[in-house]
Parts: sequence; C-alpha cells; structure tokens
Amino acid sequence: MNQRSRGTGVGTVSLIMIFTVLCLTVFAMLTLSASNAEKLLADKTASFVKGYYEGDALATAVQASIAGSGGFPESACGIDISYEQEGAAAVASYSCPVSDVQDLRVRLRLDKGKAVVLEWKTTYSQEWETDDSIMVWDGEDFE
Amino acid sequence: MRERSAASGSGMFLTELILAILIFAVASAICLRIFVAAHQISSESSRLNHAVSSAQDCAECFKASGGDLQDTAALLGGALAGGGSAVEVRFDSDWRILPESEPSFFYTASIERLPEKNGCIDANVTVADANGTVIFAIPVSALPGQGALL
Repeated sequence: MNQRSRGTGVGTVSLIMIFTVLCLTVFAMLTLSASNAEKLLADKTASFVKGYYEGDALATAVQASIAGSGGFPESACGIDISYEQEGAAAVASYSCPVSDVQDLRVRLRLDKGKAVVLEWKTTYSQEWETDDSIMVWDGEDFE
Repeated sequence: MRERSAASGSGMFLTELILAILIFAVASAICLRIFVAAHQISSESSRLNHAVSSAQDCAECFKASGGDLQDTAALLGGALAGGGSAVEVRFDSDWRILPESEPSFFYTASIERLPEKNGCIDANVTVADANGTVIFAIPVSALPGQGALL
C-alpha cells in the first residue's frame, strides 16, 4: 500500500501527455488561424488601396481633360461626365470605379478654365438592400 | 512475489514514459512547424501593411506637392534619384526612414515620374525590399500647381 502511494501510477504520464499535446495543438491552430485572418485583412487592405489609387489616377486624368478642354466634354478617359448649373458656374459630376462595390465620386466646379474640386469621395455603387427576412415585432399589439 | 510485481510496475511505467516522450516529441515537432508557419504569415502581413502605408504616404505627398519631385522628397525625407526623375526613401528593418547617407537599408519606396500627358503628371510608387522584390505598387496622378500644399 505504501509502495503504491509513493510513486506516480501507470497512466498518469499518458494523461499529462495527452493534455499537453491537446493544449499545444489547440494553441498552434489558434495561432495559425489568427495569422491567416491577419494576412487576409492585409491582402484586402492592399487590394482596396490599389483600387483606390487606380480610380484616383483616372479621376485626376478626367479632371485634367475637363480643365484642359475649356468646354463640356461628355466623356473623358472612358468615363461619362454629367453637368448641372449651380449659380453662375457649371458643375461636372462623374464616378470612377474603385472596386466591385465602390466608386470614387467627383464633383468639380468649372470656373474660368479651372476645375475646382467640390467633392472627391468614395461611395457605395451597389443598391442598398434591406434584410427583412427576420420577423420582428413592429410595435403594434398582437391580434 | 512482491519484488517481482514492483519490478513489473516500474517496467510498465518506464515503457509508458518512453512512449509518451516519443509521441510528445512528434506532436511538438508538428506544432512547432505550425507556429513557425504562423509567424512567417504574420511577418508577411506586417510587411505588406507597412508597405501599403509607405506607398500611401508617398502618393499623398506627391499629390500634395502637385507632382513636384523636389518638394515630395523634402516632405518624405527622401532623396532625388534617377537623375531627378525619381524620389527614393530608404527604411530600416522597423520601417523607420533612414537618412540619405545611410548605405545599408532593408526597404525602399520609390516614386518614378512618368512623362506628362494631357496636363496630368503620372508616377508609379513602388515599395520593395533590399533585394529589389516588389512588395506593393500603386499608380498616382497629380495636377501641376494644384497640390494641397501649394
């Protein structure tokens, strides 16, 4: 009896080993999935920034074309341009694609041969679709 | 009889211990490889994030100075290169900007100006490592005399 309680019993080592290996595996998998998510985010950010600057370069080229033409060109660099009158000056509007779902929207005030930037911002190009698939209480009493 | 059973117990314990150590060694070797792979992926992500950020800095400085490379170099803390047709910024391993005189560097960000067309100044911003491997590249355009700092 004394001998049995003195040493480590058969099976204890296996149990400790199983627990340790299990912990090691779980932590390794968590680390790998975290770094994969980090890489995915970095790739998405890089893709967006690249798309943004491509759109920005295109928008700048269109702006230069409008300013250089001295008139009201209907399109430049493959981008359609629309015009509206705001007071004494005309305002040109166009959108350059940034990604599948985003556009760079530009509005320029054309004044004395200059194209002054009124708006230069990214907007969603997709239509907003509300998700009304979940039945929620609309505030009225139940019938 | 008691001695024999004690000896048998010790033998079993020893066999179990050896087996456990073997299995643990194999499992830990696999896990170690996973940790190393995760570290490499994480380092790559960090490098890409820094490269994107540096490229954006270069592009915005180029646009703000209206496409003037000398002003862009002064804004970025870089130097003119390629006979005045480019700006080069050097970084150390922690992406800190190095002075012009520093010969050793880990990364570079360069702005190469393209010929002017339609009144628009185009350039390519490229971030590369010391071996010349491109990490990230973007195009940028500026209108002369219309930068935010002009």
